[in-house]
This record gives sequence, structure tokens and C-alpha cells, in this order.
Amino acid sequence: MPITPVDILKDETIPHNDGSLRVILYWCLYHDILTFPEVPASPTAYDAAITIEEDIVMKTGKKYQKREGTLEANGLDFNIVAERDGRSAENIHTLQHPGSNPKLQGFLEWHKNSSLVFIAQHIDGTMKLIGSPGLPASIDTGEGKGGLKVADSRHIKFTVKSVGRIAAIYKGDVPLTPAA
Amino acid sequence: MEESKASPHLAGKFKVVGVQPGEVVTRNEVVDLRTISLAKAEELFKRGFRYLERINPEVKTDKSSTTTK
Repeated sequence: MPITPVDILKDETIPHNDGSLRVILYWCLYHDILTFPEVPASPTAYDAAITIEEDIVMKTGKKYQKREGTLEANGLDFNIVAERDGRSAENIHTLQHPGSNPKLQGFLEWHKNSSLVFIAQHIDGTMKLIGSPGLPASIDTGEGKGGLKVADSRHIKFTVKSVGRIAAIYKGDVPLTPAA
Repeated sequence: MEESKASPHLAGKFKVVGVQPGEVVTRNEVVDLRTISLAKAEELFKRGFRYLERINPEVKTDKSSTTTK
């Protein structure tokens, strides 16, 4: 059954509309996922077309990892790309971490070509999944800034990109403890 | 590595399934299955939290109710 068109109006019962992301984000290796749910193949409503209600299930011993970023320096954007009749989407997730944390440098060195999945959380709590079954996310750009003057920011900043579908709203749980 | 233990408040009531006892993000909150209260466990279970299973002592002992057709 196709989606029946409906009105899309502003919800003025919600007083907040904050940009940026919460500072704690989650990520895992794409191949550590045992069951990767998808958005419905035949959604009956617009919001269902980009929403995953089920849980991601990890392989035994695997789990999601936490990453903390700098407030107001993490973001998630999507773009509709490609030519008419061939439109697709890409998602760009930006993360910035203070200092020159060797763990983060090592993460970028080791996973710059890995298949990854990230979960970003908007300020209002909505979780978005960057990466989907068959379409993992990957590191797109990265830079470490040492700064020239003491007033300059010293940080590591990188972007993660996923393609094909607008990042889904994820309503499942995120296990930060190994699957048993 | 030492295996983590489930919250003592779950004893006899719930068991942790699918993950080792630890943190899970669920609906904008982080619950720790090593320290979770019984009331919180009941709340999560009622809304279908996949990592808690109720222990039902009646199922274990009630063999007399089996009938043969």
C-alpha cells in the first residue's frame, strides 16, 4: 500500500528547535552487527519511511562504543543528491573532540577505511542512524588542529558519511555492554 | 576479564538476557543492569525491554497442572 499524502504542518506545541547534537555519540563496527533492522519496505506513513523501531542486535561479545564530542561542534546534515530521476541522499556527520587524544588519532588511523555505523542524538533526544544494511558509513574527512596561538582551538575534527538513504530515526536500544 | 554481575535487586525476579550486565541506552536514558532497581526493571520489562526476562517460579514448579489429552 502506498503512502497516502497528508498535511505537513509546524508543531507549535513543541517550543524547542535546537541545532547541533548531544555531546555523547555512539558507534560500532558495521560487521559487529548481527541483526540490522531496516526501515519498512512498504511504509504507510511518511514518518515510518525513515523510522526504525526494532533493536540493532550485536554479535556475541560486541557492543556499541561511546564517544564524547565538544558541545556545538558536532552536527548531522543530509543532502538530496544526484540528477533528476536518479535522486539519492547522503548524510554528513561532523564530530569534534578537544585536544589531540591519542585514542582518537588511533581510531582514525585504524578505521579510516573501515565500515562503520554511528548513532547521533539531536538535542531533543531523537537518535539518527548513520549507516544502514548494505550501506555502512565511513570516515570521509579528518583533521587535527594544533593551533598557532594559545587562543587557537586544539582539536581533532572528522566527518563520517553515509549514502543512499536519509539517516533513519532510530527508536531501538543501544547496548553499551557486550552481547552474550 | 571478570564477568559483570546483574543488579542484586533483580535476584529471583528478573534475569539479564542477550547482553552481559552493563549499560544500555534506552529511550534517552542510560540504564545500568549492574545496579538497576527492581522498580525500574519492572518499568522496562513492561514496555518490552529485550534485555530483561522475568523469572517465574510458578512455571518451574507447577508440573501437576499438566494434562494429557
